[in-house]
Amino acid sequence: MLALESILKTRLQALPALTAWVVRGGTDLVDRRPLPAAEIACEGAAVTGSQASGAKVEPSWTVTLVVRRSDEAAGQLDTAFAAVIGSLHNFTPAQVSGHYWSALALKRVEAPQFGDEGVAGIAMTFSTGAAYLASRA
Amino acid sequence: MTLAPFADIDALINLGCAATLSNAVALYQGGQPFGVIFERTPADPFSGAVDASARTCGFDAALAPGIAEGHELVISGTVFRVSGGTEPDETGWVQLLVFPKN
Repeated sequence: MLALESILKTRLQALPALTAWVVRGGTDLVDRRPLPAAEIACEGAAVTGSQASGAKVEPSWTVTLVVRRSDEAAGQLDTAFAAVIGSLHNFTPAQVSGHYWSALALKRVEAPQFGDEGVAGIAMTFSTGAAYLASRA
Repeated sequence: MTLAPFADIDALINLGCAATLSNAVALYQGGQPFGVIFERTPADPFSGAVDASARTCGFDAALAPGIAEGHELVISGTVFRVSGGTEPDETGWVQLLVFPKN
């Protein structure tokens, strides 16, 4: 499941709208001060089916877009927001680490935040799903 | 009899705080420089997706009349913008949230 992170990160890094952005994964051990930045992280998963033969796992992937707070921040976020949705919504990762993942679907968009720390951002969450089969003992 | 018997004492305390605890010099709209208590606290907004700092700046509000959210304040040579409210407390002391303009 976590192997999806690098695939989604690579896809975002290829976006022209994010050329000047730092795109990183939630598991990356990196300096998180450079901005603008897009971070993709797994926020957990729902188990939508569980039987003796296996389970259906539907992880949520959140993309957080953050820029320096300024009079241009909303415009920067809006442009990146549209690009990220265009890239990930309905994108099918296909087979990753032996599991076939369904197409990503945009599920939620958080309220934008214009923080007192001088950063502004917005986060959106996508979901996908795959079946994990039980091994035969 | 004055209706605000403690106003002078409040002003004296604010003056004393600024004189002894100020750690930075601020400029507002090209006026005279004044001492401020500038504090910086590590913060990780957006659930840790960003490493940032929250900054506060305290001083007697009378030193920057009319200051409001979005205004610029130069602190120790760096231009900051005011974020959030600028209402002083009952003594006239104001604690502003600021962030670097650039």
